[in-house]
Amino acid sequence: MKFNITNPGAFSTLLVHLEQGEAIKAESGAMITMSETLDVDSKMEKGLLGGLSRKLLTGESLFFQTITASRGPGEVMMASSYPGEIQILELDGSEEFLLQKDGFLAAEHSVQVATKAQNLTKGLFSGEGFFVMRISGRGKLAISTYGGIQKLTLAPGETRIIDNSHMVAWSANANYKIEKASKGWVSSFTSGEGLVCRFHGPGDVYIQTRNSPGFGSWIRQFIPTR
Amino acid sequence: MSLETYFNGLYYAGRNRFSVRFSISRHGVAEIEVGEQNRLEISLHNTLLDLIGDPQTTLQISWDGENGRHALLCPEPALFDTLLRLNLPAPTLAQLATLQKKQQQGLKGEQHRVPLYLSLIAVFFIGGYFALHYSAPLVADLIPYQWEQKIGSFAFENYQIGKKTVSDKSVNDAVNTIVNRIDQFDGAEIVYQVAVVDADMINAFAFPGGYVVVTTGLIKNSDNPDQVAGVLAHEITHVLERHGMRKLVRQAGLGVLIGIVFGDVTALSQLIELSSQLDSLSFDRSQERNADDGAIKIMTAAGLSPQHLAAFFEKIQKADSISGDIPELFQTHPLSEERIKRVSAAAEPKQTFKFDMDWYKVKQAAE
Repeated sequence: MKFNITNPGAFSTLLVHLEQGEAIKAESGAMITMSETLDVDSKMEKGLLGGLSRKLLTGESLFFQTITASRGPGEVMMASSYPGEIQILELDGSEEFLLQKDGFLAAEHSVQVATKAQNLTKGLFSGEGFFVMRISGRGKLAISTYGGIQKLTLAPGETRIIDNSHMVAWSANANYKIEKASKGWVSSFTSGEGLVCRFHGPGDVYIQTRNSPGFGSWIRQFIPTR
Repeated sequence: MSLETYFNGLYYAGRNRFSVRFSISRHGVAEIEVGEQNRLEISLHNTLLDLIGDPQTTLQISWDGENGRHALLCPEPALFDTLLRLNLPAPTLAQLATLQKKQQQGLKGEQHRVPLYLSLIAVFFIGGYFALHYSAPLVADLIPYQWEQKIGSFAFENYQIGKKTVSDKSVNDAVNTIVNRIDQFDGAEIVYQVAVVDADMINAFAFPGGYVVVTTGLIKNSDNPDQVAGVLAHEITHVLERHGMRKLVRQAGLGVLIGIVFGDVTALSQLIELSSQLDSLSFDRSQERNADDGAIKIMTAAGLSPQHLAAFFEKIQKADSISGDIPELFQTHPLSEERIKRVSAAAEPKQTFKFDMDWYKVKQAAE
C-alpha cells in the first residue's frame, strides 16, 4: 500500500495505491475519485455503540467508509472538506496518537481508531472539545489540517507552548496542561492569546498553522448582518 | 544476567526516537537493544522514574546523556512487577509502588471516563426534558397578559394570510351574537374579536388574547347556533386555561423559559415565531376533559343546553365513521365515547335562552 500526497498546498489531496485484497478506512465523504476495481463500503468502526459514541462525541461521522481493492489493484484520491495540508504518519505500534476530531482523513485497515474523553479542564479550554480520537496500531495514517502542518519533536523533559486550537495530533506520551498565556489573567486575554497548552516531551506534536475558530471570527466581520 | 523477559518501549536520545526491545537484569540494569547491533546498558540507580502521557500510565526512565536528556518509555504494567522484584534502594522501591498504584488508577479511570461522560450527557438531556415538561405550565402562567395578546394577535393575522374571510353581514352578525352570549358567562374580562373563514373544513379555534376563528364548514354542519356556541365555549376554555400557551412554552425550550421568568422581551419574539403552530396544537386527554367541563359550565350559565354540544359530537362521530376522514377540529381535539357521555350527562340549565336568529338563513348565507 502506498500513500502519496498530490496537489500539495492548501488544497492537497491524498492518493492511495492499494494492492488486491488491501483495504483502508477513510472519513466518509472523503473520496473524490477511484479505480473501478475498488469497492466502497460503509462500516461502523467498533460496532454500533462505538460508531455512535464516535459520532456523538468526536463529531466524526457515524460510518467510516472502507475502501477495498477486492477485484484487483487500484487507487483512490481523497481530501478533507476544508482547505489545508495533509500529512502521512507511519505508526509502528510503539506509540499511540491523540487526534483532534476533524483531523482524521484515512488510515490503513490495521490502524485502530477509538474515542478518548479528555478531562474537564482540557475539554473546556483546549479548543479540541471533550472528546478526541485515540489512534493505535500499525500502519499509515493520513491526517488533515486547516492551514499548513508543522511537526514538532520534543526531547525528554523539553516543553513547548502551543496556542489552543492549533493542535492536530500529538503523541499520547506528550501530555499537555492548559494554562494562561501570560502571568496575569488580564494580560492573558488582552494579549489575544488567552489560554495555551504546555506540552511536555518526549513526543511529537503536529500543529496546524491556522485555526478555524480564528478564521471564523475574522470572516464574520465581512458578513452583512440582517 | 538477564531475567529473559523482554519489554517493548520507546527510547529517546534527545529528539531521536527509536522503537526498542529491552530487558531488566537482576542487578537493576536495563539492557536496551537499539536496532540490530547497538546495545545499551543503563543502571537504574542513576535514573529518574516518572509516569507520563495522557492518561499518565507510561513509565518514563530518564537520565542525562550525550546530546541532552535520554528516556526509555514503556506503558506495560508488567514492567512494574519486574522492577519491584529487584534489589533496589528502599526509597526507589517505595516510589515504584506509588507509581504502580497511580498507573493502575489511571488505566481504570480511563476505562470509565467515556461511559461517565455519556451518562452525564444523558442525565443532562433527560433532566432538561423533565424540567421543561414540569415547569412549562408554571412558567406559562407567568406570561403577562399583554404578551399573550400580542402572540394571539400575531397568530390570528398570520392564520388569515391566504384565506378568505366571509364578509356577509348576516353570517358575521350571527357568529358575533353567539360569541357575545358566551362572553357574558365565561367568567373572564376578554374582548373577543371574531373572524369567519370561508373553508369547507369543520373547524373553530381561539387564540390567546380573545381572537376567535370559525369556519363556514362548522356553520354549515351545525343544526343550530347552540351547537356552534358549545364548540366555541370549548375552544375558549382552552385559552382561559392557557392550554395552548403551555404547549407553546413547552416547545419553545429552556432558553425561552428562562427569558419568561426574567421578563426578557426576546422570549416574546421567540414565542411569536412559534405562535403559527397555535391552530394545529393538539391537546392531551385531561386538557380536553377540562375544556369540555368549561364548555358545559359556560353553556349552562348562558342558558344553553349542553345536549346540543353532545348532539354535535355524535353527529360528527357518525359522519366520520361513514366518510372515514376526521374533521380538522377533531384531529386536534380527539373525540371519544367517554367525552360524548360526559357531555350528554350534564344537567340542563335552569333558565333557557333562545338565540333570536334564523339559523337556516345563516347557513344558506355561509354557502
